[in-house]
Amino acid sequence: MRILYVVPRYGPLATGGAEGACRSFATRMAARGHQVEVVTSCATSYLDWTDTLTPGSAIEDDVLVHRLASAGARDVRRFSEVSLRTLTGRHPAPSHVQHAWLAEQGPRLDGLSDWLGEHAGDFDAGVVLPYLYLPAFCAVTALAGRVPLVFHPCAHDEPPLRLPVYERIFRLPDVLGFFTEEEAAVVRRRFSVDRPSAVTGIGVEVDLPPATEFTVDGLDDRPYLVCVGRIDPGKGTPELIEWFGRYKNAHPGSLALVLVGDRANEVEEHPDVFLTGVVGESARQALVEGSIALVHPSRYESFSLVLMEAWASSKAAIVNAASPVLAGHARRSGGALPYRDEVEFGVVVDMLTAQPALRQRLGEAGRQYVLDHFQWDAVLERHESLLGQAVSCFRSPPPQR
Amino acid sequence: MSQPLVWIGSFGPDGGAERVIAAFDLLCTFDDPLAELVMAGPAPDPANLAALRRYRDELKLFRLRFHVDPSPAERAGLRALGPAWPEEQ
Repeated sequence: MRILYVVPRYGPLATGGAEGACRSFATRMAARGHQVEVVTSCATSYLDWTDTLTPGSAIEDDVLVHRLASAGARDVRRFSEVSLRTLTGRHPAPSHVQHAWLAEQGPRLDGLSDWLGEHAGDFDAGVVLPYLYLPAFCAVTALAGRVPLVFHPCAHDEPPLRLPVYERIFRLPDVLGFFTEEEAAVVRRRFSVDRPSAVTGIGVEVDLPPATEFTVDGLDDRPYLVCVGRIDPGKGTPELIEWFGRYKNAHPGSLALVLVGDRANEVEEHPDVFLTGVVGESARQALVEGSIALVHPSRYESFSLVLMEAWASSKAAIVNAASPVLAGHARRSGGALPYRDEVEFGVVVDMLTAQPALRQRLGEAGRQYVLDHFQWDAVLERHESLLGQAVSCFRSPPPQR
Repeated sequence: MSQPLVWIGSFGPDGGAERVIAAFDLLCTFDDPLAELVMAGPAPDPANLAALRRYRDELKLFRLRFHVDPSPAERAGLRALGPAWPEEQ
């Protein structure tokens, strides 16, 4: 099949759930013999969409990647103001304000709609993700009806999802792809869509080579919980740091918290909290494997590869129950302890630090869940099946009314 | 931070305030989301003033403030920012 993926950022430097998933799908589909192309921006940062990569077309891991230049980097202050107008208050912002917000959301790519209109006929299917950013809006409206279209919204229950401006792009694609059952549920609830859909999940490497050692300055041999991901209020990290600090005040001891990821905001120094910044995959694996457990404090998740990777390493997890996706994974797998508030957070930390056997049971259950559902071959077969379904829907005539 | 825009007129039915709000909406939607506007003046018709407030709120113009019946000191402050007060023209 000739498949086109449209994603706001692409490449090893484009960290992010949807972007990482897109790259994994694209390169693995190419390895399975499909002819794969990607249209994306030249940005590596979603904060300002500055062009850091060269515009143009190039082959990357057997995938032909077309990078379009940005029509302007995002002005963060402008975006904050428009966001305030668009996302707060009791009633939706007027339509023209929502469209202006989407334009500020970006990235605005020079000639994206023209490129898509011109090349749509070259492909057997298109895959667009995630819903939040402008390229998805442009791509779905430009490609729908021209090429069988799969839309992976990567949605979770958050204020932008409630904006009426998004109604159209959830209705135009031939099929919808979801990464979790919870994502499917939130989209059905929000949009009442009756498009064919499937939950594909995202694949996880289950047999990784041994990780290289990684030392955190000052941590020494202390036991630690590890949190992997951007340090950002949207990811729940500041709340985790605050709760962990108070937990440590009440339970003095050697337990530490290690945060692995880039910092979107300042973090107050604490003797039991260690920040590594961004580290390589092997170092991240080493840090997770060496921990007592992974903590996932995010409320907004559409899949959580971090959790799957920890489970693939048979590591127990502590997850924020306010995230339906994390709570769903925890319920189905039996591999994590969810917490609903600060008190429960303290209780599950106590349980896991005191009971190695419990940690082991949780880790084994988590790994089994990953083996049963998220091995790449099975995920790619579901992805291919979804693409086939899009082709069938595209070809079938609309129902007679 | 730039100074706010100032409009001085009447909040009455024929004062043109509604068109100013509509123009300010276009300005901060498509050109300058950081723009601020202070609209000041007498409000001879409370129902019309309420309708204007509703219009502002529906457009979610958080940077638009109404200043009804400003005191002499406030008027002096506004004079420094914008054109002369209508009564004093």
